[in-house]
This record gives sequence, C-alpha cells and structure tokens, in this order.
Amino acid sequence: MTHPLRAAAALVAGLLVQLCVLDLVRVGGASPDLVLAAAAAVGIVGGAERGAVGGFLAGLALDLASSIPFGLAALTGSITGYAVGAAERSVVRARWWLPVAVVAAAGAAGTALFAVLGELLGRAAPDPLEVLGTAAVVGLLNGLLAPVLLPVARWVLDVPQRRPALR
Amino acid sequence: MAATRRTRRSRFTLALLILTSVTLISLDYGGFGPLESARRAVLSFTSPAREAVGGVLAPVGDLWQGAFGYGDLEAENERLRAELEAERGEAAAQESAARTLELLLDEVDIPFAGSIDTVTARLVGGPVANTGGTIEIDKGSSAGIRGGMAVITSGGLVGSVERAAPRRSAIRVVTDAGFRIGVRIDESLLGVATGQGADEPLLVEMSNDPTRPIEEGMVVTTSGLERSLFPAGIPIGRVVEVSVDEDGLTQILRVEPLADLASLGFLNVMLWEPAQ
Repeated sequence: MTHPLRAAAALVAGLLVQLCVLDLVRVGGASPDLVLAAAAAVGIVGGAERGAVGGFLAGLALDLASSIPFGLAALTGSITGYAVGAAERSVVRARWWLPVAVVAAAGAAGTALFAVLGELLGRAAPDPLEVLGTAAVVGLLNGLLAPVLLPVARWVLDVPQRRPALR
Repeated sequence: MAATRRTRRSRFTLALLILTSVTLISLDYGGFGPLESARRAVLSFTSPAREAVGGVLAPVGDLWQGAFGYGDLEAENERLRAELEAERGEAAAQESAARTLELLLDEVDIPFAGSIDTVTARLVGGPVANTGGTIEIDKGSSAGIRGGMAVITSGGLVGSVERAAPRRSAIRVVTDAGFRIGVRIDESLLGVATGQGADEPLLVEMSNDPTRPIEEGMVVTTSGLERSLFPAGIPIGRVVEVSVDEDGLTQILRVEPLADLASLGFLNVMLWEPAQ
C-alpha cells in the first residue's frame, strides 16, 4: 500500500536534493537524475503500475522546477518506471547487485529517451555521441543512488525488504 | 489470470499517464496560464533553498571541481574572464555604436539601449538536472522584472526572462535550443538567430546579397524592429563562420555569443518591454 504522505514528503525532499545537491555534482557536464533513478527504484519495488505513477509524479515535480516543455520529464519518468517495473519479475529478484544495475541502465536509457522526445518536441537535436556520453555518466551516477533510493521506495510503498538470493 | 489482469491494468495506467503528459505538453505550448503560475510558485519556493544550500556546499563543490583538474586556477580564471569579457564588450559596443551613430543622426526615432534602466542581479542557480534551459537570478517582479525582458552582461546579451517570481527570475539563455531573436548585422542586414544548445554557436539565417558580403568577425546585434521583444543595438555575438545554402539564396552564419555564458556572476535585466 502506498502512503500518500510519505510519497509527498519523498517528492518534496527529492526535488530539493536534486536542485540543491545533485545539480552541483557535475561529471562531464552531466549530473545524477533523481527522476529516472526514483522511477526505476519504484518500478523495482512496486512493479510496473506504481513505477509508471512514481516516475510520472517525480517527473512532474521536475517539470515544475525547470523550463523544459511541461510534461516532458513526467512522460520520460512514467515510461522508464513502467519499463523497469515490467522487467522486475524476470530480472530484478535474481541477484543482489541487479537492482543497482537496473537503476543505472534505466538512468542511461531514460536520458536517451528524454533527448529523443525533446527533439521530437522541437528542442535541440544534440549530437548522438554526446547523448550517449551523457547517458552513460547519468547511468553510472544513478547506479550510485540506488542503495539509498531502494529503501526509500520500500518505505513509501510499504513493501518489506526481500532477502537477496544467495548465489 | 490475476497476472494478466494486473498487466492490463498497468498498461492502461501507463496509457493514461502518457495521455496526461502529452496533454500537459500541448497546454504548455499553448501558453496555459495556470502552468506558468505553478512554475512561478515553485521557483519562489526552491530558489532560496538552492541558494542557501549552494552557499553551504560551495567548498565541497570547489573540491569536486578541483578533483577534475581546474580548481586551483578558478579565482585567477574568473578574474581574467571578467577582464576579457569587459574588453570584448567594450570593443563590440564601440564598433556597433560607431556605425549606429552615423545612421542615427538621420533617424532620431530609433531607440537607444543605453538610456534604458537596468536591475543588477546575482546568478543563484544553474540548469536543473540535465535539462539545460534556464538559470536563476536573485531578483524578480518586486524589482520590476517581467517576463520577456532582456538580460545582459558587459559582454552582451545573455538571454531573456522566462518567468519572474517576486524575488526570483528564471532566465532563458540565448544559446538554449529554440531561442529565437531578430538580429541586425552591419546596420541594415536583418535575420533571425536561433539557439542550438549549450556551448554551441547561434545560427543566423538571412538572405544572400552578394553586394553586401558578411565577413567573419562582424558583430551581430538585436534588430529592435517594430514588435521586437528586445531593444535595438544590444551586442549578441560575433560571426565565426559564413556559408551559403545549396540554392545560393540564404546565408547561414554561426555566431559566437559575446557574453561569457560559462562564467556568469552578476547580470543586468533591462527594464524594457515592447510597445503593445
């Protein structure tokens, strides 16, 4: 069951962390993307539907705080959350490190998706190599956020921690 | 059976969210007022927090920058950049002003940017996440700033006010993709400049007139034509590349901004709005 108050608190806190802290962390011009990381974490913990809703709400918060076309981050977040949630059953439970890898991969894929959707909406057509580089860096940085975000997602969705498979 | 139902429901939810997002994007493109108001409210709420935390974390940020190779020279670089920018701005302004003055003597109705009041503001926030786009300054509508006003440094045009909250404003930088502005070269050649993304030169398209060749190094200024969003004569950039399209009718110029957008500190907002 999702706790609305916890979800609201996590959204506000997440937005402030993105704006105040993560935006200052720049590696090769890219910074961690909490929308994509949160969407992936909620998708892993709560499945496709809650992943899509979580990604949508996180994206909406970023849309409010930025000047991108309103709804673009929400669109990217919901698709990313859904995709991760849909893959959750088959992949994510297998090994302890896989959730981290999935958050990283979702960060990279979401960044590329954001660039493509942005281009469709008339934003700049960035150099594909540049997009790939940014996506790789965002993926790496988002992977580092996963150990923090997964417990937060469990807290918001009230899902107990699963014991990782010992292999 | 239950799994199939769950899958169908989650697909329906995704479709609904995509539809909602697309609707929001359409409303935003249509200039839907409540979205702007919501963004202004969030700007008022988040910007002071960004500024405060940014100040506290500045030493950590410097350490981070240092780890990537240029922290030791930051202060020196900043001073040199400021000097260079001031000199470039002065040179460009003199070059542009000399040409303008000759024509202004005959055309007294052309507005001159130097007489416009400005508000000096401090840069308090960079682009959000990896979205590019806007930066934030610490002055807003309470200082007379309104959406659409031009933002400059001593080097030249930086961008325009995207939205103004009471004590904060979001500035759309001139290089941002889709930023469009009417420009003038050599006083009578007119064109439109568009942003191509951060760190990329602006692109200017204008009709090709073989009798009026455009050369690298020429200064591009705001056109200030009737209904223009900016006053005339603000230096924008310098032509760094000139090419002609395949049919020979259009010249394509690449223009490097004169303002040093990579190291902004204080900016000036021109309190000028186009006549209605």
